[in-house]
Amino acid sequence: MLTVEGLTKRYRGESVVDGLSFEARAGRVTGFLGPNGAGKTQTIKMILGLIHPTAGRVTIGGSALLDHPRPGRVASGVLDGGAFHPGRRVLDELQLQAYAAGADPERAEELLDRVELLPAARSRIGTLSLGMRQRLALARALLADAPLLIADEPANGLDPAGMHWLRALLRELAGEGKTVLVSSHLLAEMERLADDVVVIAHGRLVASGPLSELASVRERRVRIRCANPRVLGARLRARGLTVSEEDEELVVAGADARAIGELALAAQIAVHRLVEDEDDLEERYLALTAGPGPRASSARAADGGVVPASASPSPESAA
Amino acid sequence: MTLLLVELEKLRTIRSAWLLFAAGVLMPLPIVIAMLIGTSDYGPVAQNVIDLAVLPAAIAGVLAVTACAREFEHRTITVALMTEPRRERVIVAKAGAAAIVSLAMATLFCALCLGVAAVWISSAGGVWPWTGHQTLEGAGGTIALTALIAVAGTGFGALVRHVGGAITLMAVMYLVVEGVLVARVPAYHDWGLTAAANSVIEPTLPHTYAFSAGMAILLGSSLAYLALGIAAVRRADV
Repeated sequence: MLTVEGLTKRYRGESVVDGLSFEARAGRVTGFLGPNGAGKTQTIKMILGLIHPTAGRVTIGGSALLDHPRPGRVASGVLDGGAFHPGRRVLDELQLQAYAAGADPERAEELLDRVELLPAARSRIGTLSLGMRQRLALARALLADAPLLIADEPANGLDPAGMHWLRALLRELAGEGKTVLVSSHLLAEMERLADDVVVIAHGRLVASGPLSELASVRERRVRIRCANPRVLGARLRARGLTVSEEDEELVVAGADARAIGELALAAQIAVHRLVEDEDDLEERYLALTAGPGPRASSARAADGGVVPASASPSPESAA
Repeated sequence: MTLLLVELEKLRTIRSAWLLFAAGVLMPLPIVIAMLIGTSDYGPVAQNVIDLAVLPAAIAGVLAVTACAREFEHRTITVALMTEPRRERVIVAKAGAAAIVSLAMATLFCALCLGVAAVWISSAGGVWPWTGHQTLEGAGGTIALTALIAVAGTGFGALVRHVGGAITLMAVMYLVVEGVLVARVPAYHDWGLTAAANSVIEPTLPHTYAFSAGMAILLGSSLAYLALGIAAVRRADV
């Protein structure tokens, strides 16, 4: 299990990751979501020991990475779109990394087969497409058979078939009991892949927990078209509801259609259309990541469920 | 040990390392042959051949800088540091691998060029100008100097983490700064790096340093550059 506590990185006083805390559990795929520039890559590099955090700590299986006798066998990562020397041959790259990781060099060919790159084994890496390089980077990360696999935007450069393959592979790895943390700015991709999500924006945690629970906090809205929207809108606002106008309709957040219909009846206002809908997950994600969130430690609820930023006070504000 | 073998394997599996290795061994040979054709006085030939070690030594420096700095440019260093997060070990392994390759390169250079010169002189009825001990000392000093330049080159590569920048800095330090100090500071002329280098590759000439003292000065200098590189990499975010 991966535990991140209060992770912070500042450059010249400016925070790029700010008090980030979350967990990724074994046997599950955790989606690490956030818009471009949210601090995902910085966080991943801090987890893997490539960037020195300004504050906070990371433990893998209860210990810091450097406290493990062979750190390379505890965590592996796919970073930088698959960084390789372009002049090296595919099989040579995997064999030397197998040796570095203390793995059987024969495992190199086995993994090339698993990522469907065996026909390119003798090719120079510089001749591979971006998608093939991503597959090779995954194969390289799997050599050590580490219990924690972290992949930074692994879907970049993959075609639809490649993405399907990637999902199946990552699910399979989680099924083997590994902790899999996958970053992406594409929510749709995570919806199909992740069990849990960690959503960050501006370097801060805005939500974390099972994806199903993130979906469950979708906001209900009611759209209403009526004979006198001005009066009905005023009455709804007087009841403390949030009302906006879109395309000659009132959009009411935080109430169900039945209550609004009864209110319109009481006000003797003819209703022409009354529809209850939910924002989709994409809208929810965009809303969560639109503004700066509170400190990370606040976002996970006591029951471990998903709590969006606005629903939970920060320790500072609580104090 | 594993890290050292991995770094050697990295060098084995890229073409540029082989090209530099071949250049370091073969480039001086045409100059040696031209030198032998152009003279009938074979007295200074052995020293002139050894002086050509500046070519493999420079190439060893470039090879070491490239092996280290290019990992940062290609960002493959992240893979090395994920496997072994204790960064000093990775950089020391790189220095060790570059030194071993440079040792092999300089050994082949000495064997080839001194061998060709010896055969040439012998076939012309001349006598090899050095004793066996002097020849061994000159060749040994050349080989060690080349390996130490590779160690320093790794340090420059780690310090700058950019191939062009690191080679430029290395050239500035060894050619410009060293040249100015030797020319302008009499004490440095007698006791500086150049004096130390001369003491290990000029076995027949008198020097302020003994062979072993000169070697110790060169070793200390190379390790200092390597330590600077390690310190920079340890502090850096990659």
